[in-house]
Amino acid sequence: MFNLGKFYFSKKELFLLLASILLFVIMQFNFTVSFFNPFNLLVLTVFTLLAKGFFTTTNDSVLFIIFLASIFLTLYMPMFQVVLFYALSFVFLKVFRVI
Amino acid sequence: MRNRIDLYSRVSVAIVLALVTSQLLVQEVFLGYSPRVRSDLADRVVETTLALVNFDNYRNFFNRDERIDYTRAIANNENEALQQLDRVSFQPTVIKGVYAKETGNAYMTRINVYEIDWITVDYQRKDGSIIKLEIPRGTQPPPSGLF
Repeated sequence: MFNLGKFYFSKKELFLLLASILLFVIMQFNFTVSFFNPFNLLVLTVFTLLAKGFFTTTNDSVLFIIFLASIFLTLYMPMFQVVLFYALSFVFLKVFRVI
Repeated sequence: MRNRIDLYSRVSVAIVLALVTSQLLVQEVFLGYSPRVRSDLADRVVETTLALVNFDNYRNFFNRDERIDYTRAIANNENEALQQLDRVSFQPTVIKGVYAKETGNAYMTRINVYEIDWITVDYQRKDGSIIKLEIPRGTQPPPSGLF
């Protein structure tokens, strides 16, 4: 755990922040990532960071399963459908009382 | 251990349901993998609902013999109509390059693209931009703002 003012970050959140910065740098310098679009990965990483702010730390392993599934789906589906999948996953997780 | 299996079962079901629902929404509600909603969404929903509540559709699906007879009858009618059309020759229409012929229950159109007299007209798209359209002389362009 570390803190920035009032906000405390866990190890997972720290790695997500690092991943976001890394992806931003990749985009700025026009580097390529095999099979993946860095902008799509950055969007999903930012979504996950935002979602982590809304859910308790005890449920965050489920959040990362959805995150990894979404990253995998970007290989086969357009980004709009992946974003829909991401949003619907939370709806169904809430319906099944997982989060 | 049992709680863990229960948790991951529910997560798996949620993921599969989200995947199926997103696929359904992309195909039936949204247009071209973009957030634009189909303009004919209400019609499609009504059509699909009517097809789902129509008991005849289910009966025809399971009644295989009837379905084969029905398909065969359509094929016979189509062959008969084509044979009748073969005896009639194509006649020119008001549009140059377009020919048509008809019998009592069927008609056929032939379009010779290179014979058509194309004219260029300005067309206003939905977003306000103006594009050039080529249409056959003597026909009306589509209403502006349709595309």
